[in-house]
Amino acid sequence: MKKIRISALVFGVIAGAIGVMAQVFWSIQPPQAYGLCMVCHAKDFINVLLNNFDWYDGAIAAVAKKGLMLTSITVPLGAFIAAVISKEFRLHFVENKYAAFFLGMGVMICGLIISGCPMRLMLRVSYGDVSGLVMLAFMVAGIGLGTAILKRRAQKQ
Amino acid sequence: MTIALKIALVTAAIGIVLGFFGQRSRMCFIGGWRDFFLIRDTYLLKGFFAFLITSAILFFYFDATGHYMKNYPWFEQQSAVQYEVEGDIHNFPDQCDLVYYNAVASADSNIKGIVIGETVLPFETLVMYLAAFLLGLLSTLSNGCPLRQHVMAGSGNASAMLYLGGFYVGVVIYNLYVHEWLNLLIN
Repeated sequence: MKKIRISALVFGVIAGAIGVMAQVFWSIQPPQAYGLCMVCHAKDFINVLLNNFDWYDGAIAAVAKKGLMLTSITVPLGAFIAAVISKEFRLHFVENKYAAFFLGMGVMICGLIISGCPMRLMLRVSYGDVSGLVMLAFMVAGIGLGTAILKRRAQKQ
Repeated sequence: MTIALKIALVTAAIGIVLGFFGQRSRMCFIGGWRDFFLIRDTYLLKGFFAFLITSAILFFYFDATGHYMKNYPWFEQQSAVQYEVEGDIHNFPDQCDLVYYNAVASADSNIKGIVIGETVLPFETLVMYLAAFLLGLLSTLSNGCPLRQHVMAGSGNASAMLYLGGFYVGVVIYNLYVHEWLNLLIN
């Protein structure tokens, strides 16, 4: 099969269209601007499963009370299908075990405080949220500091 | 088709489409800014702005043609809702719904925060801005935004699989510990 290569701009247009139509037509509705978010849907999935225990009381969104949100499971599945079709699947080994795990934990906790991942932050900005713009500016400042740290780490070697 | 089945199928279909195209285009929302700051490369940044502009145009279009969108121009709600503190309990905003509140309150209401002249910057908004800064910092240190980590985990990268493990543990830790600490901070 010939390799299909998509540019990032086309992906941005497709993802933007899907994120809006998921709210308007496909009823992922009562939290607004909720069509695409990796952090929020993962939180809904885990809390729905763990709420069956007595000692746990996790907050779930209004749409997650109606059905199970499966995006955090099917995004790696779609990527696996694409990698296998074009023969780019390769099992890398882990560089630094603890760093990956604790970075994931930190990103999830920060994402739950602001109630979104970068994709949902952009959906909120296009929905008219002014404080979302300020959060986006702080996020870009954080990215600037992160690139300075990466550059310094690469120059030391 | 019941609504439970509809939501499960819709989210599964969205996930497979995003995973497939995300792997084919190696799109990352944080990587756009990182490449721009390091080597002035704008390939991924165009995807970032394409997402933003497309969703803004489509939201405006669907609102103008009559579909019901609750609280659509959200800054209108933000200027109309006052802070309400009921008794002594003032919870940190719930992480599910969109929160609209005044980012700045007047100094005679009993909201804790930093006082500048006659206005008060509440601790809630400061914590949110700090968390957004930390989100950008930690995501660049791990080489990807959450979408890119999911796609890399599907392509066989074992670091990204551990990252996803940290994701699911972080949900539990937030609900058990961090939410109470934030409530203690703002009361």
